[in-house]
Amino acid sequence: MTSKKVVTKKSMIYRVVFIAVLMVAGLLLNRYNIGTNELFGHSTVGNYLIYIGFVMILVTSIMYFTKREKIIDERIEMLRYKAGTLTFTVFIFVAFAIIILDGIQPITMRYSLFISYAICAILVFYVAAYKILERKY
Amino acid sequence: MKTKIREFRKEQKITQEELASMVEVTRQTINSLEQGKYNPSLELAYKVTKALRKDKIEDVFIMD
Repeated sequence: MTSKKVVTKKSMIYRVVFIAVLMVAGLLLNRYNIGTNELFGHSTVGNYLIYIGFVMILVTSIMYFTKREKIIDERIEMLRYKAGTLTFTVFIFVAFAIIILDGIQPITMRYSLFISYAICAILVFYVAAYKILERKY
Repeated sequence: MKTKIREFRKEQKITQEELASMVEVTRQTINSLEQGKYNPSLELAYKVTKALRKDKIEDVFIMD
């Protein structure tokens, strides 16, 4: 494992491309009426992608103008790996639990809604795992 | 693993932030090393030893 510095300028290009992809995807979803009233029953998936794009533009602009350098060292890489592994393991067990529960009593929730909740839960769990591990190591 | 990073750092009058900048890691990593919470790679241990102007890694990092 080596320590390294991620220069803001380099990562900035990837960020800008990612923001553009998000916003274009949001516009396309809205244009073709895909994902309407899908996410938590409000708005559209496309609108949420556009909102996230705007938030990312704000964060990226702040990072660019304050010239902050983000350092990713070996400890952070280890934390990311451990949090990822933990999240994946928990995801597998939860998936099995859901399969069993679905066998006992079928889950009637809409597939798109279920997936969006699942993705949110995974992200929240990953962040929580990372923060807890950060205190340990 | 125990370390003498804090001791040597105070001796040289450098802050955690300065040492972190010298070895290209975050200040939190230096803090974690000082508290013995995180075991560094050989490369990082070498860099920290050099930054603290010590000859041997064993002078800075002590195995329990």
